[in-house]
Amino acid sequence: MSSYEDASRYFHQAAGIMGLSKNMQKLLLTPEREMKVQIALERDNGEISTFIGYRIQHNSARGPMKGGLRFHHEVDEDEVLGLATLMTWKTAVVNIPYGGAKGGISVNVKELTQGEKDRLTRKFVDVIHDMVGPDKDIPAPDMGTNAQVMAWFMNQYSKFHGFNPACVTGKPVELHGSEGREEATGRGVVTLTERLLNKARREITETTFAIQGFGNVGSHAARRLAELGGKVVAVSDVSGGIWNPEGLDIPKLLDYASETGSISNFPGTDAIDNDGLLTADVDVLIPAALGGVITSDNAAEIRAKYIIEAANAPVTPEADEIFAHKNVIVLPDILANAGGVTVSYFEWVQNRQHFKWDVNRVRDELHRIMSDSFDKVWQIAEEKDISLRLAAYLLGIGRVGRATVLGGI
Amino acid sequence: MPDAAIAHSPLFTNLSPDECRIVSEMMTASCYESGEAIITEGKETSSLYLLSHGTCRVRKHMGNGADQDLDTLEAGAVFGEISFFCPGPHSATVVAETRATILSLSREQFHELQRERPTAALKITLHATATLARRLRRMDEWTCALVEKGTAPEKHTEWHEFRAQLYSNWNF
Repeated sequence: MSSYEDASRYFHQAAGIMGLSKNMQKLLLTPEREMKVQIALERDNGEISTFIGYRIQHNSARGPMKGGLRFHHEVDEDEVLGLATLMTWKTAVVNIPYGGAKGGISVNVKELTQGEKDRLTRKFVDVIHDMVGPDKDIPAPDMGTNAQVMAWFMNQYSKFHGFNPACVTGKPVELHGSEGREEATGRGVVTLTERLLNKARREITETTFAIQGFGNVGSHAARRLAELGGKVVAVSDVSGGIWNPEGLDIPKLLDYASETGSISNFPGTDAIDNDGLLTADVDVLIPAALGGVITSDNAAEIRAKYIIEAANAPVTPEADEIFAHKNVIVLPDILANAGGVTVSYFEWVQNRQHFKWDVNRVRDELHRIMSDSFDKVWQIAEEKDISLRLAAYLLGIGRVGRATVLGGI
Repeated sequence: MPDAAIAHSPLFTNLSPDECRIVSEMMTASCYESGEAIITEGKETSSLYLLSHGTCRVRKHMGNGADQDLDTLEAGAVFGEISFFCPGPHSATVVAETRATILSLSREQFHELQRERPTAALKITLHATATLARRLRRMDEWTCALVEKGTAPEKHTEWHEFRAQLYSNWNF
């Protein structure tokens, strides 16, 4: 099953419930523009490498398109298209004035030196700068890219179009980035989790959590959960997982991870593997790393009652059905990890106003948007007696559809 | 007395048994195989036709070159009345859909009937007038539908259904 098929499966389910005709489904699902480019790069050792880059703009009915730019060896057209459509529904679910896009370069980023990464980014900007921009399409960091890559992007873009920091988000705070951008996805995840537990009449202080992934999303989610008194008992990263049923000391773990570069062998914990983490005896499981980690093979073994899709598509559609039968509540990615794009939006707003918000304002606005979006999705799910995922899609598709109707074709 | 199918034809409903017998004796019976044309659009005949057995289709050649089926006739149906009362080419073709038996009454025979049994001739004329009036009414409805279709403010039904769905049930 391809990424795009997976992504469109939920769309078709929701569109079916809404009774949208085949032609209207096609209208909403067909991308507006797909760009595939060659990027030739002279390596530091004198060799010439050729990479393929993509930028797929799915829908601009609600505003300029928005979506990450990933550097990863598995990037292909199908994956980028699937993720671009997800961005359209995601920006609509949280009601920020954007459409959806995604891009990437098929490259093993670990094999690139810092200088090569810089040149690769700039060469990519050279070939796509006309189709992106603050009013067209605004990239952001994703897998394999970070604030530094966004800074190069902005710098190169400004050589063609003049100073315009709003052409990209997720920039370094020192270079027109926003306070609170890095923590945004993790923080949003926790706001939503809190809201979900509240609906289930559970206290966060009496709830246990397992988090897969301790990067930009997982580590910030862990930090915020710990601040609120939640008991994080297991976390994992690429090096493996750690487990302590009494709860991990998250502030110490964060220091340890930044010192050693990994979480493994953190004192006072037992080692577990990734499967062990996913099936750990916890109340809430937060997959915050890769897509497709929870499948029909392991879904039945999962003991958590709540799954928060902090990563994009960590639960496959087959696993999703199993959870529906087991009454496991899945908070879908298009809502769960929308904190990142929401603070990207704040960054864009600040750049356009040339006015910097302090971190508290960013956090307050993020909290407001995440809470409102959750409440809306929850209300739809209850009214229509459907899953949170379908409810989120109904909300997103409805908003994009109405924008399309109002704007005309 | 003609067979039961004819006896039940609306053409004969108001005729007395005697009139019925005279009219049916005046008529000529012909058999048509499936697909055979009984009257042809554009050609002229001077008879009134009564479908005694079988089924026929009324077909018209359209401006775009295609043939359009207008109606299906069952046993008892009367046709050819336009050219019968207003001499001129037939406005449509009638083709036997199944094997069909047709009784025809020529204009001369009808004139003879008018002279001999004017009441029977009047009854047949009234019946044919009612048939024509029904067809005219249906034609009016078609014309109205065509005019509406051509001048309707919104032709994009799918677009409007889409709008209606999004603004009714799914507007949260």
